[in-house]
Amino acid sequence: MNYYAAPIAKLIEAFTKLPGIGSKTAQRLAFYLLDMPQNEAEELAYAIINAKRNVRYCEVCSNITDNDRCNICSDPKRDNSVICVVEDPRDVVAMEKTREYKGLYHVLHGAISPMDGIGPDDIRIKELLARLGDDNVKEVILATNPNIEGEATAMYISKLIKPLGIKTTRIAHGVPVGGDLEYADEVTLMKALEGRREI
Amino acid sequence: MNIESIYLLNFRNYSEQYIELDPGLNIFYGENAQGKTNIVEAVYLLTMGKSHRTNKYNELVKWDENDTRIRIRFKKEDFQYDIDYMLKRNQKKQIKVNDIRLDKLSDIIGKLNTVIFSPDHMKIIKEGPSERRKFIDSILSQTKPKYYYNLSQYLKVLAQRNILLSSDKNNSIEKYLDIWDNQLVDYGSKIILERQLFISEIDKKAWEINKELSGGRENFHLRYMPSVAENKHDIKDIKEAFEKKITESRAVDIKRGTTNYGPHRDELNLYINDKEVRNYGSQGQQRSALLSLKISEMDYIKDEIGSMPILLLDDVFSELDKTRQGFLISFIKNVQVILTCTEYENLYLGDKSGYKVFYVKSGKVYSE
Repeated sequence: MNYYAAPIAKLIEAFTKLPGIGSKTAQRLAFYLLDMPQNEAEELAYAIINAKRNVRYCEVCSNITDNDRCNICSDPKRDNSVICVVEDPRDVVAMEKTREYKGLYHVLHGAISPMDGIGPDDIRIKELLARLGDDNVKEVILATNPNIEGEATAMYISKLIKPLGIKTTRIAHGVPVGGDLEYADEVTLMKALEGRREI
Repeated sequence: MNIESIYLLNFRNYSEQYIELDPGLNIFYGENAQGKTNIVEAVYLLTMGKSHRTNKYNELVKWDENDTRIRIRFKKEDFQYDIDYMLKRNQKKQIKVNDIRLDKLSDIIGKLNTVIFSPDHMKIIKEGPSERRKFIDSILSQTKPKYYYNLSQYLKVLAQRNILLSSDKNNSIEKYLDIWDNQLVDYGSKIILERQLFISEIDKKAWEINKELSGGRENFHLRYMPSVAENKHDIKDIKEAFEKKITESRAVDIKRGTTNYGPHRDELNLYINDKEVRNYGSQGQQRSALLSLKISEMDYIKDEIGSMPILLLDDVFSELDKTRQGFLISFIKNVQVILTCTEYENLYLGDKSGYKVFYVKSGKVYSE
């Protein structure tokens, strides 16, 4: 059963646990690492340890950061009257790429899904409500994913926020910009039709 | 619409098989368990993206192989399409239409249109409401992508809601129900409206066909019995009624741990001369009712997509008596048919002239 020396077997096993990596790829990666110069391999190991040790959740918005506060929350130029609520830190990156949005974020780290055993208390909704306590915040944009769990989460949050008198908005669904209408799938087009507006 | 050719590679008991079809009638005959139904299954697989016989995709792969391929070339309103279906053991399926890979497998639905009729379909008449809902859903999914989307979303919301309901009986789940109810009502109401419109269409068609089939003696009718919002015909009214019902039944839902009202509990009743076919119809009446439904299904699909679907008659034609065989044959003059049977000498084909006969034996098809 053990074709490899124990340290190599352990390394291969560790790689197999990563998403998208099967036993063949794990084996290839392990042998590639063994052929690497000593210092490069150590750099990689250190990068992993460093990221794991120092990266944590921002104390304000729960985005990932290496400080107590993330770069966005500690940036004085950002508009702190708007909060955009997303499910995942990767969604923050996607929004930031627009370079349009100047407000702050709140990362929920998930969406409500009874099927996966995730209730409202298991994602960072309480933290969001705590941020709305001061009078700074004028608008909350709900940018959870456009699937049923994302919709349910958005609806849950909006019900909590509305009584506070804060403007609550939901991002629109629609046709991708720059593409041709004929390539949009039927469901996206249907949603876009439902959300049409007068010009 | 008609299929020009079917190519099978390592599919079920076929190693490699190429079949050129007649645009009219195609008869596949042979002993049982030789591979006749597998041909019907291959065509259905490329209609709906799933098999009508099994959910276990590994069964579709020939037992000593790993790599299955099906290619069907068909014509629809003068356009030629090639659909490729690729399946590897324990891997994701892939579908290509004219060599372009589909992002979602469900995008296949609606490209190739077929109506399948097998002895199994007697369940539509004889068994519980879920068989009749399946009948409705499969036709509407084929003709309306929006319906398929609404239905699959509805079922997802329903599953989430039911898990929430069953998760915890004492605690305060009531306030968490709102966020699911809203979507349940939204998707559900659209399903109810579509089903209503569909059934009133099919009712007209099936009544006429059955009348002819019975020599004017029978009055065949379909009645939609929605679990909520009966007699509401406007989407707004349906939503309102559904919302009201779901709010009222909350306590019961929580107690039973499941959702008791909604399209997943709809019923479709079938009547001949005001008597329910399921309980009071004779064998003959039940067969005629099913035949009328299936012919209406073809006619409905034709109206919706503008071209005649392909009829798959799996082991069912020989079960019909001469009168019904003759009736069906007269209706399918301009339809491509794939028919399977054990012996074809006794089939009543009327004056049907253009047809091809294939003999099927242990995973091989011989053109005669």
